[in-house]
Amino acid sequence: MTTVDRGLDHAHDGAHDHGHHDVPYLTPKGGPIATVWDWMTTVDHKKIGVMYLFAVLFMFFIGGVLALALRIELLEPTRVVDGELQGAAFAMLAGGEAAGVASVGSVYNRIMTLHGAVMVFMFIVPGIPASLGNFFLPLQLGAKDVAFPKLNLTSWYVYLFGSLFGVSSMLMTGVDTGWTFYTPYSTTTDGQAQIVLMILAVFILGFSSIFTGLNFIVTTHKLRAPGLGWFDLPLFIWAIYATSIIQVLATPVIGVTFLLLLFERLFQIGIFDPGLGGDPVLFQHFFWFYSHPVVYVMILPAMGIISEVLAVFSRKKLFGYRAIAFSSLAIAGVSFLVWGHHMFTSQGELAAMIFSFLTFLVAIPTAVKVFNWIATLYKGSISFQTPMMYALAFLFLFSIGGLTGLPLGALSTDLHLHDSYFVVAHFHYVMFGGTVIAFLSGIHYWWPKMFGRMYDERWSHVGFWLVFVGFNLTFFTQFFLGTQGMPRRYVSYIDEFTLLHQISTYGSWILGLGFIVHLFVLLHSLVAGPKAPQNPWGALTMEWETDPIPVEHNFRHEPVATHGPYDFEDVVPPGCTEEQFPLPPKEEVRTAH
Amino acid sequence: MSTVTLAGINDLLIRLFFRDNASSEVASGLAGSDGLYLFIWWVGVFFFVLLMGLMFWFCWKYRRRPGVAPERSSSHNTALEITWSVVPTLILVVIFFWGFDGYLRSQMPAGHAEQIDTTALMWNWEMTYDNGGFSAETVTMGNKDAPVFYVPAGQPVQLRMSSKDVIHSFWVPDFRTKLDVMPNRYTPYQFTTEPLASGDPRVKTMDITKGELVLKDAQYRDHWIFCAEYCGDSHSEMVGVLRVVEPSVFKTWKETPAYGVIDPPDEVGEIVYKAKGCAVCHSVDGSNNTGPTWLNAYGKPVRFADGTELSQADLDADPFAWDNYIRESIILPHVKIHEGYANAMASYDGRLSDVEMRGLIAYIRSLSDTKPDTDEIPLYDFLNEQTEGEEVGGDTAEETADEPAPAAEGEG
Amino acid sequence: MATIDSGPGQLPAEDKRPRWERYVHGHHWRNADDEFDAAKIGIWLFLATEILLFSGLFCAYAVFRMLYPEAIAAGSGYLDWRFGAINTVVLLLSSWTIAMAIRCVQLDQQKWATIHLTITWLCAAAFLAIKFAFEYAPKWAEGKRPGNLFSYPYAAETHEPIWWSIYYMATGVHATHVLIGMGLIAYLIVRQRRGYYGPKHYTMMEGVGLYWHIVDLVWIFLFPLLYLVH
Ligand code: HEA
Ligand code: HEA
Ligand code: CUA
Ligand SMILES: [Cu+2]
Repeated sequence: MTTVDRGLDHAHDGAHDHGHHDVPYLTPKGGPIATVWDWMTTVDHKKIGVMYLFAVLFMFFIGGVLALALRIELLEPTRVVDGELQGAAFAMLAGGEAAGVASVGSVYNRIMTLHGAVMVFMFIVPGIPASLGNFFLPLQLGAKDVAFPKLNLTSWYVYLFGSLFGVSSMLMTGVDTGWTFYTPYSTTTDGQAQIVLMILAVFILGFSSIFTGLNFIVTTHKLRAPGLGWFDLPLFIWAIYATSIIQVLATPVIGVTFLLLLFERLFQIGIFDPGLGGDPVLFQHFFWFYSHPVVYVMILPAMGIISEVLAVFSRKKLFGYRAIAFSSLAIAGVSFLVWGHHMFTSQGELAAMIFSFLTFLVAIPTAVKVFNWIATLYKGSISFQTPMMYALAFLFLFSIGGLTGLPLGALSTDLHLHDSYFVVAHFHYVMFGGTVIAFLSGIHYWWPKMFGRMYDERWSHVGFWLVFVGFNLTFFTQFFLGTQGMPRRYVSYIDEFTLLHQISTYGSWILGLGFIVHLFVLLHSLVAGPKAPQNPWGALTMEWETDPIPVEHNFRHEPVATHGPYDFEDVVPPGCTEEQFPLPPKEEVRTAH
Repeated sequence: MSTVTLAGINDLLIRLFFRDNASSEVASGLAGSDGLYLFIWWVGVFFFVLLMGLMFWFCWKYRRRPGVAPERSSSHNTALEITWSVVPTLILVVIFFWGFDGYLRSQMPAGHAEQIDTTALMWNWEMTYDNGGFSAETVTMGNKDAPVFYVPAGQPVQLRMSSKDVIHSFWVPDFRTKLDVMPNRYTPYQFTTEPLASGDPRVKTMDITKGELVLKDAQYRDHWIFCAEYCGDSHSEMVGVLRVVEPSVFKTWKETPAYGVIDPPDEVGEIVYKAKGCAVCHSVDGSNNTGPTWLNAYGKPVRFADGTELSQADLDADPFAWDNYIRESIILPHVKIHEGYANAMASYDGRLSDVEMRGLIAYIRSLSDTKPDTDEIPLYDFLNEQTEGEEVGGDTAEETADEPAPAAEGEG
Repeated sequence: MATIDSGPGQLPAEDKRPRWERYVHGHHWRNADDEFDAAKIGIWLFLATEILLFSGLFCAYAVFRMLYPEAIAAGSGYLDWRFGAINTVVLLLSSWTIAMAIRCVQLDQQKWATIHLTITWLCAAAFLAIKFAFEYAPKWAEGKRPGNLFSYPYAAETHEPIWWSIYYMATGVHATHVLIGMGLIAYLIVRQRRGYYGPKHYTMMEGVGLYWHIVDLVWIFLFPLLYLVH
């Protein structure tokens, strides 16, 4: 892709243009107050993306601290929080216990619920799309902004507002329903105010999700640079596009579900209440109709990042571009049909059979992607900077996570594994080993473009290994706990499980240490990292054509696509030399994709 | 030769995954579940090793060397792509049918099953046998007493499960299946227990006692019961033990009542306390829990959440005031909420016999250092006769105890 | 949607053309057509979310109609189909008038556009008035309330409270949409009076119009499902 000045610089820009879009977007606007105000009212997708990035990472941090608290409690088979406090999170929630609201067991249950709810609703669902997607989708399309910039800002404030509800619920001792809010427990357990707040939080966050998704779909349709056809799009865009479809179509259902739940909670309208003739299983159907597709909202953007990083760091055209693109759409489509696999133990045989079958169907496009990724490495020129390390780790961990989805999808084995630690291990392998790992890959990959600085490769490798080893210690053990019979959401357990639980807890400490290393590496980069070149990894997608720190309106001139996103064999990357990224000899004829 | 090795490995794996199974012979009865699990495991291992092997190999072979360009290669290969779509599909179809088949088998009702009514409530399991009997036995697990339920060996058993409150889930990991227990309908959990094989390390011997019954050196095998659907504070303590015994032992056991009617009431109360789930929320050692402790509670003034109270004056005026408070709290637990506690208890209306109710009152009373002057009250003379062996006539006491209603009215 | 009306920019004060003629598309668009198309895609997507929102309620309805057909039939019997029918007509009329308003704006018949918009707004108000005055209020007073709030002494079926829950939830969510629609239409009237919309620029009108049709459509489903059960 080259930037060509096609004289498209619009005449109407002149009216309110003071040349500010040639300034890097991070340049402060006057004094500190003016700058803060500028960020708060910005419609620039890049700033919104950055604000989202810090917000979701903050939520990840909170969720992570809660997780470490869970793991500490699980060091011992019996409850250890009898009055004595274990860390900050327990202290916070135990305040409620002193007030007589929560009894001993419910402290753990609250932390468990908040961990799940924060991680899912406030971290991982908005996660990649709203932060990296917001920043890079328009850049990769060669656009000046998303289609509806004000809606984008609205989405950010709605997210803040929703999270505020969630956090205030937490500060009021939180909820103990599990992140799944199953009725009739969630409508009868005590803590009216907190539960209502949490329900509202999820309801409100849904709007944020819908706004973002809608914005991205329209942007992809209408704001592609000249010459950028659908099959010239980077796969990250395809992934975000498929994600957005799910967000737009599934989120309204959780909206209406939580509306019903809210009224059930406030006025006992009885729709989910067996006492009044309602049907608690109906709630489960509604809940999973959203929450299954949402697991693909979590993983598809991650897969998009992996596609980018694998191609760039092995300097190869992605193997089977179209297969990967279409499999994203296939996953998005089929994901709406499999929700019942979370409820094999509470539904009839026919439904169970259908859902089990469809579950296997959705695994196929995912398998296709994995094969394509591995094939991409073939005959490449592979380098191992942090983004690539994480991409490879993704292939490793996500394969485990995905393959352990199979015994959960099969009926007879799920009857045993359902609601056991096997499920816990499965979803951490896909959500953490998949999404979080890919997120880390993406953060490091795009860090230079976002902040104009490089990070320390050595130390971030240290962080990588700590995270990788810690993660496996924490969660691989849990597969065995699950098969041996450890149910999930248990604050105490029988003695036989102690050893595996302890290994898991020690692992979580290594994991936490890894994150602290990463945190310091990135903070250090922000203040003292060397200035980043325009295109440090030699990538070919459009975001690398702008300045090291993109200017306000992204590009100095409207870019035009002149080559595919992965034509590493034919094109010298913008801002790079052929010494850095040598091309293979020209004579061979390539088959077009 | 190679199959022997495979069987050996499988055996090892089964032990690793499911630990309780002594051998793969045992697991063969669970082909629908463990067998499939192993199959999926091998499929997973195959693809994982294949893919990761390729990944590491490519990473090594094609690692970047400065100044060296990547080789040209096709980014598309129809034959390859079709292969890696179709092969997994076929494997997945096999897994699906295998799983579905095993599932149907596990759902199939077996004929002539021992029927047991199973009730789940926050946070305990209760089982009532077809003759109305129940188990009063518990084992200590951590800081709670888990109920023990008896079932016959080598026979089909069917549980008719229902819940008193929220959704629970009945899971015996050793049986590889679980089923949700719903508040608005019965769900069937069925299994056929393995016979008590002599070589099985899980089979042990003990003296089984129940009421007046003592069975010396009876063989048994225990299985854990867990509640697998999150149900609140003590979800993790909603555990039990399923004890498999010889059918003949089971028959005798079932037909013996859990306690004799002439047992001292506070001992009956203690049994009920453990067997009917009181112990989940109420401690008897003064420690705090979901509900108020029973230690030194009886006979003391109580303040309620709505600001009312059971005052010393009330207690002085009515010797049965505390008894009535207990009775009401068992039958209509939401009416008087102890200050500082949540309205968390489910009603026990209809689930305790008169004997059990009286027993509980006596038991709570026995735990207290404050008791009304017993000499003046015939009812307690009766109780004391049983507990302390005092020589006081008991016939008038029976009448009084059977009619608590007038006292309740008096308290009005 | 945020950009639909986004800033006309600072314009020379002497420019006396109506605002719609002076409209300049958002700076990140190549041209006004792209911007308009984008807004339309956006609105259609939004409408899809609306449909899914209501389909949740329709699902709940279907489930309970299957579980307790008698209760649903009995509950429906309490509703007066005439109010439902009047409201259907009122909404259909309003759908027509808003379509006309858009057409008038496209033809620059501003006065007629205002009239049509005003009728639309009045229809919406009439719908809500009928709903509250003749349906919600008397029923609520008689104790025909949802779930646990139910206190109607002459209930024929045990599960009537559930029926009322569904009735109030479905019509309540719909009524909320009507209310939001009224706000949007009022906003349109103000802006249209100020000359924001004309043949070259009417995105917002088009968007609200589509929204209003959906609100109408949902009612057309709700009416037979709630009022005409036997
Ligand atoms: C990122 C999120 C994510 C992703 C991507 C997935 C992916 C999958 N999940 Fe998972 N799942 C969750 C998040 C996710 N899941 C969560 C959060 C829960 C629990 C919720 C709760 O109860 O709290 C859950 C629970 C869950 C259950 C319910 C378990 C229970 O409660 O009883 C089931 C059952 O079918 C299931 C199945 C699957 C399957 C088949 C896939 C497939 O899509 C996986 C496909 C991937 C592969 C197959 C691996 C890669 C391919 C290869 C290595 C090639 C070779 C492959 C073959 C030969 C097939 N998941
Ligand atoms: C995105 C999703 C996500 C993530 C990432 C995690 C991360 C972790 N989870 Fe997860 N977990 C869930 C989602 C997630 N979890 C869900 C949905 C449930 C189910 C809840 C329910 O049952 O209702 C659950 C339940 C759950 C349980 C089961 C509880 C039970 O059933 O009783 C356990 C137990 O070990 C656990 C542990 C952990 C641990 C140790 C981590 C660790 O990996 C955390 C490590 C992270 C940190 C220590 C934070 C450090 C961060 C920084 C220092 C910030 C800097 C960051 C950068 C620079 C990038 N979790
Ligand atoms: Cu009962 Cu969990
Ligand atoms: Cu799922």
